[in-house]
Amino acid sequence: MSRAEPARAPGARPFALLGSELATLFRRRRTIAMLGALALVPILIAIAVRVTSAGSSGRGPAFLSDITQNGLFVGFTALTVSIPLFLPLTIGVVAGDTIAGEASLGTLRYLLVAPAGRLRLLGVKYLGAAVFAIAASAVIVVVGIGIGALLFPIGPVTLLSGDTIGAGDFALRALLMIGYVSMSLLGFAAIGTFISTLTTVPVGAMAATVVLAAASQIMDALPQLSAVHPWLFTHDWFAFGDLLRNPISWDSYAQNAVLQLGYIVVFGSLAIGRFTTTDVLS
Amino acid sequence: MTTDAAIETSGLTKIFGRQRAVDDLDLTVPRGSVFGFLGPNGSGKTTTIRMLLGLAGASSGEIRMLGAPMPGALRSVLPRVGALVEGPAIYPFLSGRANLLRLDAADLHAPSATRRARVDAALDRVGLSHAAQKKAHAYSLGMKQRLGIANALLRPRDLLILDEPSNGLDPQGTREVRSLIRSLAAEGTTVFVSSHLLSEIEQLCSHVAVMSAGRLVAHGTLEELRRGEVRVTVRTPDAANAARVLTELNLPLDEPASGDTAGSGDSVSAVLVDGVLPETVTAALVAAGVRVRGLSVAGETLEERFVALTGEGFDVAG
Amino acid sequence: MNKNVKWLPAILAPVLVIGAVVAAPAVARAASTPPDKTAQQVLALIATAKDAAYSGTVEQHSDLGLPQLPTAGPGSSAGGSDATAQILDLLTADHTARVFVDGASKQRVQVLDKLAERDVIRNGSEVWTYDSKTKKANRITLSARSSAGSGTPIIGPVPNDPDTSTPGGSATPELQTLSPAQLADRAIQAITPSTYVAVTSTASVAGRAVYELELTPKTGSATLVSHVVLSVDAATGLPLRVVVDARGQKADAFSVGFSSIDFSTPAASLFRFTPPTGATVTTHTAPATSPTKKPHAAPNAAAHPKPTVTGTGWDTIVELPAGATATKGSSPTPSATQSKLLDELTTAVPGGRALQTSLLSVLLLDDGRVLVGSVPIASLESAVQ
Repeated sequence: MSRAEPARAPGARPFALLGSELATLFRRRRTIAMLGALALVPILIAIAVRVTSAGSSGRGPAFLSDITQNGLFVGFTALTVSIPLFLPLTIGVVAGDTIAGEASLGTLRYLLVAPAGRLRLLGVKYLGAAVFAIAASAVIVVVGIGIGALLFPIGPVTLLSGDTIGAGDFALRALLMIGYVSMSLLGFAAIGTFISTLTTVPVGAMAATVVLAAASQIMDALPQLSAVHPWLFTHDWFAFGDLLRNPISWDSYAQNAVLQLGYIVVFGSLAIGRFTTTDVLS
Repeated sequence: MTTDAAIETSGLTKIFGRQRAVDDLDLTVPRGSVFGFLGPNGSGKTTTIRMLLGLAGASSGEIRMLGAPMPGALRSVLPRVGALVEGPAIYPFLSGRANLLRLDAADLHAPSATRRARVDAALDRVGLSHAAQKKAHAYSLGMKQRLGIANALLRPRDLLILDEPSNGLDPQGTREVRSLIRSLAAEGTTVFVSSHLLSEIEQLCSHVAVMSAGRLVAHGTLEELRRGEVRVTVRTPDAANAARVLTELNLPLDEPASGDTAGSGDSVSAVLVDGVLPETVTAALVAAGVRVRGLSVAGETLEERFVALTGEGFDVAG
Repeated sequence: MNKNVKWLPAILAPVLVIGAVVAAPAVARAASTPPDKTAQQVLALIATAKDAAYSGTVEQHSDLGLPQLPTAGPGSSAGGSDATAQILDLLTADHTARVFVDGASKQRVQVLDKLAERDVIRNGSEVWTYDSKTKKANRITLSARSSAGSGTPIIGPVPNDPDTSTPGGSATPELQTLSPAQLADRAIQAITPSTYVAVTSTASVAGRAVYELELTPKTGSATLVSHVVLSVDAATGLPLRVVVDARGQKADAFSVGFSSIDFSTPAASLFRFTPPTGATVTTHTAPATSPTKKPHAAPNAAAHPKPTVTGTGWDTIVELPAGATATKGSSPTPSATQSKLLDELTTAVPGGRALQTSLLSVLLLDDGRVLVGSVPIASLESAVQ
């Protein structure tokens, strides 16, 4: 009688599922379309500014007026435009789809029977959403810098503090900014993953997740609720500007990291509690 | 072969709200058997399979699979179990091959070095090699079913749990699946097949369990179930006399049709219990002066037996 | 498998997180209590801190009883082009600034706005201001007298409020010659007729033990100020926080103070400012008067007619003659009739309009005169006669 070895077989890679998850996620047409739409944001901004050569100071999103003088600012302008809606929208779609999407396809039961292990699957799914968040912010910044360099003159970058930095420092800060923005979205992705464990209808989970991001931003804009502002997961989303100060203000980075970690712990635990006890009936 | 059963449940119960989907199920699937799990749709078969595989938690009762308690030993047991649960499920945007690669990667114990080779072998075994690179959303129902079976065969398994394996397959495909299951069984794999198709079970299985409304109504080898069903039917104008004779032979009479009293019609039938031979019945009837127009001894079809057990018809035609 | 056990981490994690959130400030508060000091000693301590080098984050909160407006999209909360909106923002919104100080002659303040920044950089006699929104830089050269190390930081956590008599305020040349102890004595003498002074030493600000100097007006209901608390770092004497409470208001009406502070010398490069290419640079030479925090105000200050001051102490009323507030287009305070928003904030009174905040009353007369005081509106009205 053939008897497969239950212990870990030689050559089994524990990260194979993560690789498979990322490959599946990024080969999916929907994912590519969303990243394409995000890449379109800086491209449209750059073309609009180029065509109209509008740079009226003080109007429009931050950094817009800087673009004509330095194309490298297109990436930052695009981030400013994308953070309130486009980024949470795309990450809400991916995070809301994590478990609910597999459940609606029915593949969830086969992954679990494989056995993927419920904790491992949940972790891999969340990591997939997190990697997407990094990819999404990187696409905006990198495409923005690229299109800006193509259409506008580039040169040393002026920080918010009025000081000027060179190319190496700029590249470092752009990287830090991608890191900051993706980190800002991690708590949100955890919320989306938790909501995704509650339903087998992915669209419902996506919508609920995106609505939460909007609600949090609205609450953040109401001064009457100032007491809860520091606890909102969207509160520090725009503080990526602190990376454009001299010296870099790390306070918001640290504060945001702690805040996002709190959200990850709370909603991660809720997701684990829910997902490890629920009956998979789809 | 080890002596313990491949699957053993005791008192297994699943309650959804106020409904007892599975009620106090005591099931034993011997190793090496091809076990038919029969029951009409909604009788609790799939819920039972979900509990066996750890997808759903049992409300009460215990499960042992391949000698280990479930779902406690889920991580060591499931790699040895291939499963098709409630139809295949696919990623429509991936090719058939990529679907299998992904599901295989989900198994922490599956060696990655042999992954591609194993996937190709499984596709070959279910006859899907030609469509391996095709996006799965273009698959027909039968191709998806084959892909689902291929997933169950990605690694050498000790136990296969196949829920309605020939669903959606054409007669040719059904025959192929049947021969596949036979060959797997010949290799020593225990196969647990659930179906609402009696003919499928009858042709494949060595053991059968019958579910009805969440309860187990019959459980044993196919032979055991068949044996109890031999009955004798006497056509005679002296029905009342014949009934008396059969009763004297301790044969349980069938319930007469509605409106008739025992022996008022022109035929009497009874189950031919063990040890009573047809010739004994004939002799007794003749000795009692019953005018026999005809006497038939027939093993009841499994279908009639199961209709009697479950109170529902089976989709015999498939 | 018991389902309830699996849910346990899910229930515990939020409890732990919330527990940590509640417990963390309690732990931070456990700073050691410094030895007791009198008010004079505390003031003397402050005067020793003028050469301190430090950097930190300052937060300002206002609750002046004005309506709060929702902050709209990114970058629109502060520094709008409309001057009234700018003032409103200053009065109603909270601000965060970073302060870098290396002795008396090198300072930099960065007001951190959302995706924007306003900077004031002083390096010896050279002062730069820069606004990232408008891309405007001002270069102000201080005259020899005002830049000679007067010990007056051009800007700082302590507002130039004559009522609070803080040494960080408008120091006159005469005061420079006094020792810290003498300075403290003078200050106490100046304020005791109008003010009760008390010192406590149990609080902490930005994780540091402080002396709290509590100033309570003796005038009672004549002023809107309930009391002022000045927190002074026990080790260095640096004022770390000022809180002003208004009569009949529970929340602090105004507070400005360090949320974090680091007593190491900031990098010298921070004080060397080169305006970025593309910025509009204006050059000024500052008059001998000490420049104020507002970049716009400095060049215009000399042009303004002199205000009239009535009363002393907490219930002082300042009367600005007509024309003082509606000078050029760049003036931060447009005349009342020009601004619809201001109309909504003020109420009509005989002879003009009045603005009542929890800390300050403003009377805008139709003839253009403006009366300001930390007193009820009625006091302003009676001061007009």
